Amino acid sequence: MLEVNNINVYYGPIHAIKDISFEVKTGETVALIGANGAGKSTVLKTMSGLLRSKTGSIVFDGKDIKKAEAHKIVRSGLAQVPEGRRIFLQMTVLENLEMGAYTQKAVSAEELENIFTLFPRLKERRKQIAGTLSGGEQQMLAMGRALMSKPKLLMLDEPSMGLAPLFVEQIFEIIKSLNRAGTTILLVEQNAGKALEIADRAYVLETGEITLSGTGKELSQSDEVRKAYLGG
Amino acid sequence: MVKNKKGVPRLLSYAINTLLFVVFLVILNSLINSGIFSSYYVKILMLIAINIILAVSLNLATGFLGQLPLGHAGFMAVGAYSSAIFMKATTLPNIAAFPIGLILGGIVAAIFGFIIGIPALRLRGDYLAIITLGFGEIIRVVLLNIDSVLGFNFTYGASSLKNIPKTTTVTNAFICVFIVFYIIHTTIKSKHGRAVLSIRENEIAAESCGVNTTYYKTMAFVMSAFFAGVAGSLYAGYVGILNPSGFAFMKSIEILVMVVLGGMGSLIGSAISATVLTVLPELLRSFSEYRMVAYSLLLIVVMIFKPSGLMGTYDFSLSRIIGKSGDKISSLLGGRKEGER
Repeated sequence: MLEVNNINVYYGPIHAIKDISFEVKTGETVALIGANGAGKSTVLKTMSGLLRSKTGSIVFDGKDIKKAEAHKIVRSGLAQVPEGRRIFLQMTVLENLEMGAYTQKAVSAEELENIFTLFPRLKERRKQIAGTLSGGEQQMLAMGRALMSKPKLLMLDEPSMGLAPLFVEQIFEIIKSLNRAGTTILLVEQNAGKALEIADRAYVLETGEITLSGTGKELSQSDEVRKAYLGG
Repeated sequence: MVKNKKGVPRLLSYAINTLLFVVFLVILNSLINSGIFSSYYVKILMLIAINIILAVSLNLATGFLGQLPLGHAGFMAVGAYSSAIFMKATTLPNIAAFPIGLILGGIVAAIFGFIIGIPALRLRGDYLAIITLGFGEIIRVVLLNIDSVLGFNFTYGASSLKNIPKTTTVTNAFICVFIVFYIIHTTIKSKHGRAVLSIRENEIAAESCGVNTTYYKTMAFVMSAFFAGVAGSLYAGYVGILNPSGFAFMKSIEILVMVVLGGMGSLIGSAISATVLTVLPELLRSFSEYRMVAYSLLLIVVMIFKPSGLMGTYDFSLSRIIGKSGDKISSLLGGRKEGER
């Protein structure tokens, strides 16, 4: 579904992503793990068109989206849950979800119902101003909002960041069930243990380069990964 | 995307609003014709209308789009001068020339808005403020000196553009206010308006929802400039004489103060504060040297006790009030509809 070949991304003179290639097949959950500053978010931002790669190609659903504008990429079915949630704080929960369906012709009641089944908490709070939600609820809202655009591929940027362990557990459960329901997922995480648990395949990113790849299981048992990310 | 929230059909609510507006105009005109309102009041009324348009148009860029442009007087000046030069040159009867002049003023200002918006909107916050501030000053200086560059009289620079036909009346000024309100209100309540609001809330999130942020930022900015140009045209037809010094930096600040005082993101707030800030200095005339002190004190007091402005983001809506009482009645009857928000 998503094929990334030899991309190079720069922040001014800084070479942030060095010749990375990876792929996400339809129906998979793929995790991109790595330490702070490894370039995980940069990769996602490049996928969603917020940053540009100087070389290579990003083929999504048969089309090269490397040069497409961000808002057009969303229309083609590639949705991103940005890092740090970034919901519309002054709008209500429902309005946030409606914004998610911005690329659709109309807000689909069915989709909204799906999201409310997935996140019952959001239904309870649908008239509440989004800024008054807790961190975990905001993460749920950000995910719900991205799902409103009916994406083929959902990219999640650090969904567990700054959340209580209980919420982290919940969020990962939801990601799992989303994937079972047919959404392909590209997950960027620092919480390598959790990410490898649910990922079909994973890539390890170190200072802008992919150093390891394999199935979630393989990687969680690999010595290198255990030492570097899973605490021995 | 957003259906009319409460029970009142949209067409009906527009009809009611139009009717109320016509009644307002009739009352205003009869007050003027009967001589209860002297020509002094008439002048203040026109100024109120112009200031309302300025404040509401700036609110579009400030309150709804969330940017801080400081060159609004520049757009007003561009509109005023283009319409004034047209009005002086044209041989059309005033009734035909007036709307053309208004729209011309708006369009020229919008073009300038577009030209300045493309580079300026890539920046945010303080940087955008500085760029637009610079732009406002450039406009003023150009208007002041362009004649000597061109070699013939065009804007008449510091000696003022005189004998502009005084075509602005209370009636046509308030009709403009009504139309501007109508257009901005419907835009804000539409899908496009929601896109603009989402940019204010969080630009990256808006982009990740598929909003073309560059397009909507430019659209809101150009619209804001257009209406400032319209207000400028009205102003030209109101004073009959234009001098670049009237469009200096302080004028932009004055408009911004109206927006902030009224509440960023509240159209009715802008209208109220534009009215108050136009009338207040006139009321305080008898205190002469103290009036700027009172004016400043008002601002300080409001900012301390109500930093979101007089109205916050609240917008007055008849249908909401009717809808609320309608809800009460239906809940009394036990017929509360579920699923309505």
